[in-house]
Amino acid sequence: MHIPENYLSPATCAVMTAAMVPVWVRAVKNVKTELPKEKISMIGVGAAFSFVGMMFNVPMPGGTTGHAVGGTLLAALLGPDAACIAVSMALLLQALIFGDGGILAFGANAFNMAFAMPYIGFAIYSLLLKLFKAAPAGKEQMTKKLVSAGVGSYVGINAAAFLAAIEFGIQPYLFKDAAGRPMYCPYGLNVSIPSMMIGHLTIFGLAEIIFTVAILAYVLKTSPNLVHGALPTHAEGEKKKRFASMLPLLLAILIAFVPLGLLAEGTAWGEWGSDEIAEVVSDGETLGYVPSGMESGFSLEAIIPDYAIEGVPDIVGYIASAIIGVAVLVIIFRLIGSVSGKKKVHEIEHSV
Amino acid sequence: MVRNDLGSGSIPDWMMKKNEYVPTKDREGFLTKSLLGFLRLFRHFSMRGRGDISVAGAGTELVLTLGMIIMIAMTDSGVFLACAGAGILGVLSFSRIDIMKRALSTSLGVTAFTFVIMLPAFFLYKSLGFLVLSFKVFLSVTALSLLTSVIPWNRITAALRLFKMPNILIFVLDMTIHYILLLGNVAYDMLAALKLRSIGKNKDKVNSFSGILGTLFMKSVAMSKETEDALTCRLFEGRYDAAKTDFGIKDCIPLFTLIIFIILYIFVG
Repeated sequence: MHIPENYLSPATCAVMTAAMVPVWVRAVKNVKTELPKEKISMIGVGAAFSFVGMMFNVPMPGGTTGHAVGGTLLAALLGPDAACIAVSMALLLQALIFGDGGILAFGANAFNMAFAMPYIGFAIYSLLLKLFKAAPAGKEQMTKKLVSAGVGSYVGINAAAFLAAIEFGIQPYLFKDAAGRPMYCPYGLNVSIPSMMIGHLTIFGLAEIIFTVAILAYVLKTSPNLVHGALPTHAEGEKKKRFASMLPLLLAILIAFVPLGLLAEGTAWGEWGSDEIAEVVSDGETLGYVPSGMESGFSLEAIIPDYAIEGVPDIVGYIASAIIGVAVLVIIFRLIGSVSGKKKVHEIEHSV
Repeated sequence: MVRNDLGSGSIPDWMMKKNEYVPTKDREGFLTKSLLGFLRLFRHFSMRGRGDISVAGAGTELVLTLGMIIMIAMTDSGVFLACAGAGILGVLSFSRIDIMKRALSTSLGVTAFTFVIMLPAFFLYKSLGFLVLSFKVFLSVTALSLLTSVIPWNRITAALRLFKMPNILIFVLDMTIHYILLLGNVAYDMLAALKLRSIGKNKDKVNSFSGILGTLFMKSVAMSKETEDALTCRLFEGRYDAAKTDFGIKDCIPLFTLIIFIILYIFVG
């Protein structure tokens, strides 16, 4: 579910990051008030746990394995605000260390996995606990707690996947190049939603349930006092207040999405020439960019539309190509050299 | 009745028989994959510990990298992409071999994934735009990998102050980085123990998964408590001042490079 670099337009990334800012501010504020100042280290360690947890391969039925995000589990263990910060930090480091998820797309990834997943998962989990009349901590009514957490985690990961699918799916409608071809993710909602949801409704959803239920069961059995809600600092009234305050936050995020539509209209129309606008208006939505792509065929201009610019850019393009060629060759030869160098050292060691 | 041959000095019969036990294969893909994942993580951290080799300050290099990533994402110009490619690959070709390998292992993996995902778009639009997207992904991830390979974590986190990141988040980020390695080691040890001690079919192996992660969580709570105590002993009361990054002459190189690329983007981007 980690959205890599360049799958989303920078404009979408900016909107998603802007939407996440109030969430982060609120989460930090809440955690600060919930935790004494000297206990801030708990968030850092929680984030490390989130990162390490995401690295685990979850054993699945049939011998397969899958990865889990664990957003709902962390929300159940640490509270949704701490989970939001922990998952955000884990996502940032994943992008920096492993290249899992883009640095520009960090806001979008955080929105899906650090905001939607833990908060929605936790809301479902809390709601079911209320319906079952079960306390979050303690060893009593274990099955009810685990069912609540399992359902919460399943809904949480699918909500996050659905949001990611929408973010992918709107790209081809909003951001096209001069030739009318999509600049970022080329798959529309009709492709992105089923392809994302099939996997998450089945394999990844199941991995998330196994991950959440198995670990929560273990912690509830061995150290039930470590589960979020067991601490006396979390008063019931405060919780209600928290849920009530989530509504304006959700509204604020929805409002933050409004510029996306305006931006879509402006950018898409602004990028077209007058002849292309006429084409789109007369030909309708679906036929707008297909003919031009077919006309261009597979020529270099089709791959790099602005390659043949009059004057200097041509020369710059050629020079750049030359540098790329040389750099690629240097990289390949140095890699080969390093391998053969290692072999030589190995051979010498053996002969000695 | 059990015959005791030890007294007479001869070897018991059962010891003379050939052991026919062949352990049955068990499904332990989740263990192996997780162990390999952790080894990969440790390798990243161990390579990082070989010192700071960046030319300029972390702040300006971070600005350059982010600027390049944004411009690469926004451009639809082949000329700009070619120039950005030349710049990034040029730097990569002159970098230390371990850094080059690491940057390439990350970026080529992500690029290959993008290529496979985007390939069906060719049939949808009959264009080779997916190649441009894959190249953009390659350049962005390589640029970021290069940045995180040459600059130590503490300088990267300190540089985040340039982006007005609150000190508390920088502190949390620093803590996270340290504890990832500590918790990673604990998780690796538990996984390795489970793998080594499971001979043949072990039905409890999968059940141990919850135990490992559950113990890891409890361990993380214990670690955070220990850290709290240690911080309290050092009179920590919640204020954390991240180190400031100073601007030097060396910082002009990345800034100058960024300006050139911005000018190029304005003209051809």
